Amino acid sequence: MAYWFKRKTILADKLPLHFLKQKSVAIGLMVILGLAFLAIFAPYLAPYDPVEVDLYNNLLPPSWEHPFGTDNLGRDVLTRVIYATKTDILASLFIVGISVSIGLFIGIFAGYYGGIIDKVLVGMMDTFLALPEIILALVLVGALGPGIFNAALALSLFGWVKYARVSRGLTLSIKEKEFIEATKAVGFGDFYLIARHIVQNTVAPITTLAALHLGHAILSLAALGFLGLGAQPPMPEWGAMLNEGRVFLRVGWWLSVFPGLMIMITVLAFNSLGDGLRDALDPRMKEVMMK
Amino acid sequence: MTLLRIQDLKAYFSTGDGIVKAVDGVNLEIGENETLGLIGETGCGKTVLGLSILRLLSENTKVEGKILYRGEDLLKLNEEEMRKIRGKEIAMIFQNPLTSMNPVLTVGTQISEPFELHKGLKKKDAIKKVIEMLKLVRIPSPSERIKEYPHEFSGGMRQRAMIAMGLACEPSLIIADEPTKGLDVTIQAQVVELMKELTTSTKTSMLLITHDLGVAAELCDNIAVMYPGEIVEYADIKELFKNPKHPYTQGFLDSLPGRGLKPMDGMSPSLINLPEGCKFHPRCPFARERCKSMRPEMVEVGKNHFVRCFLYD
Amino acid sequence: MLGYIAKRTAIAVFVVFATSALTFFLLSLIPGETAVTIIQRVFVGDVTYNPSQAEIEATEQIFHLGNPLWMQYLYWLNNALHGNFGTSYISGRPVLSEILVRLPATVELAIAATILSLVVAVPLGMISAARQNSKTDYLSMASATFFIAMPNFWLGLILILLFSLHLDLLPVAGYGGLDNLILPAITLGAGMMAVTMRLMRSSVLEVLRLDYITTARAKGMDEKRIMYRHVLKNAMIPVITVAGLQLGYLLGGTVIVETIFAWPGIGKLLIDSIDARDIPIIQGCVVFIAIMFSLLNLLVDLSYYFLDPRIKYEKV
Repeated sequence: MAYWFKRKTILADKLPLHFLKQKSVAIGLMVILGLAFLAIFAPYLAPYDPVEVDLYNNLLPPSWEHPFGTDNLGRDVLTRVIYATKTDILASLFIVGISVSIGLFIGIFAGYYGGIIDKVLVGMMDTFLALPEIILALVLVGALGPGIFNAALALSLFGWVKYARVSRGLTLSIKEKEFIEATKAVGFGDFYLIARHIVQNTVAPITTLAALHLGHAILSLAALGFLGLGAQPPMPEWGAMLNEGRVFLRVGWWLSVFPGLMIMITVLAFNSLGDGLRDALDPRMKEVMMK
Repeated sequence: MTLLRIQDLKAYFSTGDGIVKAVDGVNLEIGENETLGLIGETGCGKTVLGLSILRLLSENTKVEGKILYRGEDLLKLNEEEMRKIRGKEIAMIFQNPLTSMNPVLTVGTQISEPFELHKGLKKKDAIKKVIEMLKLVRIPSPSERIKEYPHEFSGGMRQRAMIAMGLACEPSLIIADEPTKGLDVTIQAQVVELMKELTTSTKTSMLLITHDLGVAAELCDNIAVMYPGEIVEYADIKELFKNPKHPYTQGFLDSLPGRGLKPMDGMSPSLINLPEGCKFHPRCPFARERCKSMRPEMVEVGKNHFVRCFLYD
Repeated sequence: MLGYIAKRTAIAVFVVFATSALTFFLLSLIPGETAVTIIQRVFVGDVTYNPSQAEIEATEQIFHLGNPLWMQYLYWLNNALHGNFGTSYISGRPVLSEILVRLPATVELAIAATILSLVVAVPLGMISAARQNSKTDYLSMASATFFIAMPNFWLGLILILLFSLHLDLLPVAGYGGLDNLILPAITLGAGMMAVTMRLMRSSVLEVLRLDYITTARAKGMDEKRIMYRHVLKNAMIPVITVAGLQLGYLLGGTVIVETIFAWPGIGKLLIDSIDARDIPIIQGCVVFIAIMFSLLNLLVDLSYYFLDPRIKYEKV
């Protein structure tokens, strides 16, 4: 706990207030907070039950009772969309969390030990980059069996590469520095020292990557859901809802519009956060004077 | 006859940190067949001055005053008219030719551009002219060189190519911004000699912007010494070396290797936080009360010799 | 120059091999007795058939199933290098022919999407940069942001809703003429278009700040000419570099787009075979996608080489 808190304060040092004043970032943050609120308080906010079937009321268009309409099994779409918020956001947090952890570790490991280990790990990273992430995830989920956990796992197993690059790069440059020799002399476990140093100093780029990764993870997760390989019925998940609604495109346009809209809004929010972070943490360019 | 007359030129930038007064009331004149040197340290605004003549400054600059070229105020021209001046009547050569040339276009293409733009030549005919220009600036095997890219040239050759670019359309005035910066001393000497020859034979006037007095001594007829934003001394080159009047000029000369390498106290002020009164007073060994609050005007102290200092006012 | 190509090609080949190994390993995780599956689906065609022990052993012999995994991979690799990618569990036909039949459709879709996105993105990006902070700029950047956040499967559905069902202008799905190509191509290319547009804009803005643009202006060149002669080539360099990554997303996107529009390409084949646990096809598809991706990246590397003459001097 203390460790996470420390991480955040280091980030806060680097963020100029300017960042928070940017309109798009502020809106993005608010949306994210709103979504988090939805996710946490879903059972209290949602008007109906997300899985209860009510065939008498199926495929109803949007109305006051059902603002997003009902699906083919009579379930209220708004309710399902709200519950799906929890599914998608939690799952993507999981994906990004695991990716960051794996990536940081492998990067530091590769940079620290160098030599053959480094070459092998870099080869692995290049291989993972050689295919579009979704294809690899597809195959893994296909092998393990569909389900939201497997989907999330698959996406985290292929999403760590960019973090590894960041941490490996910094590790390599640090290895040269003399203080490592000095601390070795004093007797500290220098792997731990380096690791801690790397983590502290890569907070900025990694947080930026992570924010953007969150949006990307939701898209990938929903894509897997759309292909039937992610969350399985009756679990509400935006992509899976789009898949279920697809067949009824002609008679129930609301099934295909609202879940997708939620995905887009969520991803927009994370992207604006990530873009804002990236702009804020870039070295500020001096005002161009001589041009 | 006066080719270029700059009257009370001001160029201010608004930046996040404040207003930068890069050029703050400058008066200069350049005549036909004259080379004027603009001497000063880095950051004194001399490059901005050069750029402002051709109005190449970015849009967030405020430029005031008059720049009279053959009697016509350049600041009042519209973009299209200005473009007819650039490269044709007045040309500019930049420092650091590696970044000042486009890396993905051949040198030949880049030098032929002024011909295509101002003389309406087609590429084929322009290339012949380019080869002539390259011969003029003494670049060997010009017909092969035109197909090469800037990074394939050596530093000295690149600078010569820039000179060729500038002289292409036989401008009346060349503005040369630190043309020898970054070059080896021997190469520098070659470039300087070339420039001297060319300006004499083509009777082109030149505004030479530099911090290197040695180079200036070779090429210039007159010198204007610039200190953040303004001219503090103006004289004929020999007179300046013999009789520097402004304390800054004196300090500048004293800091040269040939004269004792005596460094001056303090540092040039930044263009944002300028001192009150005479800008040099914090560093001036002769500063008096008056210097701290009032800004001196330019006064004549000899034939064609002007100083901005209360010592003479 | 040859050294440059050779090195890139070697890397590409290595990566394809590594990918095939990785996939092979992943697929081995699929539960179920392989020998039984093969007998039931390929030999007999009846999933309820109960093979005898002798049959199982014979099958294991033929397919080297008793050997350690890495050896099985080598057998597969050896076959593959000779053109034999195995047989589909579902259709019984050779994997290679199943893939090759569908390859043109995917290539057609991918090319259409790429052309579409570049034709829109490059000019719009340039114009946005040239008219920074104008209405055009804000509009195009805003729409780019939207399209980046938009899931492509949602875009496809919306397009169908709008153009096929509501306006009845274009067919809902299927493969055939230009009509059928439009919606899938837009769906597939939208993401790439958005990213390219943003990148082009920032790239042009950066180039406009550089010294040699001032030199061009000092020669009396007008902004339009500067844009085409001096800026474009330089600005494209980072765009092309990113294009490689974008093409990866594109290939991944074909899986979704082909499913929505019933486009008979490799993407759809991959999904169908995953649903059906048709292992040989899955392996074959992934390898082909890896090959395509590597080829595309190689092409991108090469074009980069032609765009920027400084590359010739870089130590490879």
